Amino acid sequence: MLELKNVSAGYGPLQILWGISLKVDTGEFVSLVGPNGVGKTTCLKTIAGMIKITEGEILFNGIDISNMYVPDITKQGLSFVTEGGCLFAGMTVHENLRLGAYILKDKKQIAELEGFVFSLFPRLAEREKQLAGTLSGGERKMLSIARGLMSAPKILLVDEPSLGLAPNLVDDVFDTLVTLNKEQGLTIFLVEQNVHTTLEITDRTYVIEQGRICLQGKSGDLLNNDHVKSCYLGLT
Amino acid sequence: MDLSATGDILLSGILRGGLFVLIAMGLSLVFGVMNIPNFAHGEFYMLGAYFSYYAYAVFGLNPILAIMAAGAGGFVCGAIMERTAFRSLRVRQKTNWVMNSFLLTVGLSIVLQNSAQALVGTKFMGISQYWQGSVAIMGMNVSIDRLAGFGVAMATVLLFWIFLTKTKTGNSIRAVSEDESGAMLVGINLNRVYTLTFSIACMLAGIAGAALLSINPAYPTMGLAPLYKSWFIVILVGMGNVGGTIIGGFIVGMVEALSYYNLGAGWQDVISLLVIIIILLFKPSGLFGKDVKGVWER
Ligand SMILES: Nc1ncnc2c1ncn2[C@@H]1O[C@H](COP(=O)(O)OP(=O)(O)OP(=O)(O)O)[C@@H](O)[C@H]1O
Ligand SMILES: [Mg+2]
Repeated sequence: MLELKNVSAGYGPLQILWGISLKVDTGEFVSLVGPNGVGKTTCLKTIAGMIKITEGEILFNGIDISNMYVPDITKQGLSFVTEGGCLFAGMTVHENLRLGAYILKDKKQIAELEGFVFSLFPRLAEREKQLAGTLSGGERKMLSIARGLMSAPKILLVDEPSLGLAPNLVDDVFDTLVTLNKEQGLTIFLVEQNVHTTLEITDRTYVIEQGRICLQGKSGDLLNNDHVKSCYLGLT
Repeated sequence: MDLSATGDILLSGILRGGLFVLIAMGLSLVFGVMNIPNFAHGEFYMLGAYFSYYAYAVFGLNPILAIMAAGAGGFVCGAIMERTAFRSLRVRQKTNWVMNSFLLTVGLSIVLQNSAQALVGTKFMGISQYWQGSVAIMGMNVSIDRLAGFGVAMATVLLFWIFLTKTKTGNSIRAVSEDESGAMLVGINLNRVYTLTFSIACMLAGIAGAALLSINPAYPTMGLAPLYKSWFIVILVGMGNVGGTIIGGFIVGMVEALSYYNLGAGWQDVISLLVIIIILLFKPSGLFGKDVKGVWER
């Protein structure tokens, strides 16, 4: 479904990604983990079209989306939930969700999707008329994931959904992602700091260090990998 | 102050305020969505006045149609400006956008003023009225023309507000002003929203110029006064707060009517500026703005 071939990208003269190659197949739950500042967010932004790539190509369902305009990539069926959420703070939860479905025309489908995300996050349903900017951190995370789902995407890119959440909410968010993947068959590409849980819930994982993929494989296998154990799981 | 004087002030404040709202809204919208401090906004007011003058006095259109023609003319001129001037700037310039776009609007303002002068000359082009007659309100004679101008302004503001809050396109404009990355990520094409926003702002200014034609005849530099007034209002309520301009417009209208009545003509700008300065001392980000601290809160 999504394939990066030898992708390099960065901010102006500052190169961050050095020949990244990775693949996410339909229905898979894949994650990207690594230390702080190695380019995980940059990688997601590059896929979503927010950063120009300098080398390589990105294929999405066989279509070359490298350096395509962000809204056009969204229209292809890719949805990117950023770390901060990029919510419309001065607008209500309902308006945010409707805008999430901006690329859809079918009114009935949009209403159904809204019903679906409300069943996923009942707290949002209670706060339908509340301004996004006045939501709590956890509710904002829920809203950003919910908004990302409103475009009925083929793939969901999620950047650190657990950041800044209380432990029980972290579990909720992970449960939701697993449900979406297992029950709805949604393809998910997840970036996370919470390496242990991530390796437990995902199918495959890529480890990125200094802008390069240094390890990859089945998440279960990586749990027993020595490098992963010592650097990410704090085990020796 | 007796009762009839109070009514007088109230009424004239409301009538003034309504049109201020119409002019200031577009300025606020363009700043909120596109981050352009538009100093050519008054020129679209001027264009609207000329369009309606020609439509009404020269081609003999009915007043409502003439005002609508001015709005349409403003919309088209705005779209052309945005596509040619601002889009080229956006492609070339990523840093210092606010300063550069400000300079561009000043340049545009000069070009538009002088083009008007070159094309139609400097003589006043006005009409005595669109509609004849007057009605008595609270014991005061108000010309139907002023009431109709106010009605047009309020109807336009209302329609615009409904468009902004209830339609998908209107919501996409608000989304861009809230968060550009978020807007792009949900699939909104920024360039299209920019062009639409700028065109609508120019349309609102054009309608205002047309609605006020019987009071302010068209001439090339007529846009200066409404430009300053709109800036007063936008700064008063907080830059880019479109909803706030509705209240701000009426406040400034009321302050002007009060100073006009108590101090005489010529003092209204002094007083409204004074009021604005005092308010900004306590709330530097404007009445409804956030983020900036007042002098007494530091
Ligand atoms: N807009 C920017 N301009 C210049 N450099 C940037 C920009 N954004 C990020 N960087 C740099 O790029 C590098 C990678 O950043 P990125 O946000 O991709 O890291 P990350 O892997 O997501 O880290 P974290 O785990 O802390 O979120 C960092 O060194 C960062 O300082
Ligand atoms: Mg990051």
